[in-house]
Amino acid sequence: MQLRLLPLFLVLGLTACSSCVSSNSALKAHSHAAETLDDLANDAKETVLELRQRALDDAVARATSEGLRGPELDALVTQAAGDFDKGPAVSSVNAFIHAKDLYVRAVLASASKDKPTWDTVKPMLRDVIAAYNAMRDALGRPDKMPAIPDAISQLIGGSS
Amino acid sequence: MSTTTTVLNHIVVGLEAADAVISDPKVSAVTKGAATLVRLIAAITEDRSTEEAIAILERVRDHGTSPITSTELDAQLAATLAKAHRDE
Repeated sequence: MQLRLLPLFLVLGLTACSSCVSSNSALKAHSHAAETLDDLANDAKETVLELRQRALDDAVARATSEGLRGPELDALVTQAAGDFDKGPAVSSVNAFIHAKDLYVRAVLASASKDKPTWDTVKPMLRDVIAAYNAMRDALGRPDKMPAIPDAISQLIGGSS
Repeated sequence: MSTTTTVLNHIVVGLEAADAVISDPKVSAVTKGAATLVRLIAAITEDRSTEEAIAILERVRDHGTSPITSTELDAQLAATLAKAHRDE
């Protein structure tokens, strides 16, 4: 999943680097890129939820074949859900979606004639932290990616 | 029919064809990626004003795809368990 999403991150990064919205054509291109990224994000989200559903259905089938019922069946299926959620799929998709949101906010901020205010910057910082945290979860290497200090998260109003 | 109209018609046909490829579940990820690129290039040549571009960006910002939440995950698990109990 991480490798499949890598090209998306590269496209996102390259597009964001060129986000000097100085002309109508650039803004137009960014609006198309944003739509495409949103479509890709939606497809990726649906795919992950379908994969999770399949994992849950497999767990139900396994429990049924083992003759488990009631709380025992619940425990096995809940365990399967927990295992799936601990994997990189959900976090990777969420990292991509937060990065997409950051890109869109950055383009809109640069297209605005007004100087960015704290209220403009705050949601962008929130996206950065949320994307970082999701990527950290996806990679499963907290030693390589240190946690964002709570003080910073509190300053920008928390991160999801 | 003017050259501009002919070109615009081709762009619309190209966009529709690319959309059909992207939404086809039988098509491979590589083909979908190529179709997405074609769609992006064709779409950029479409006529779109600054106001329309900003409105689209704002729509994506406010109503675009949101991250997967724990509520969604919990709801999926609850629905699966409920179905499993009904089938017992």
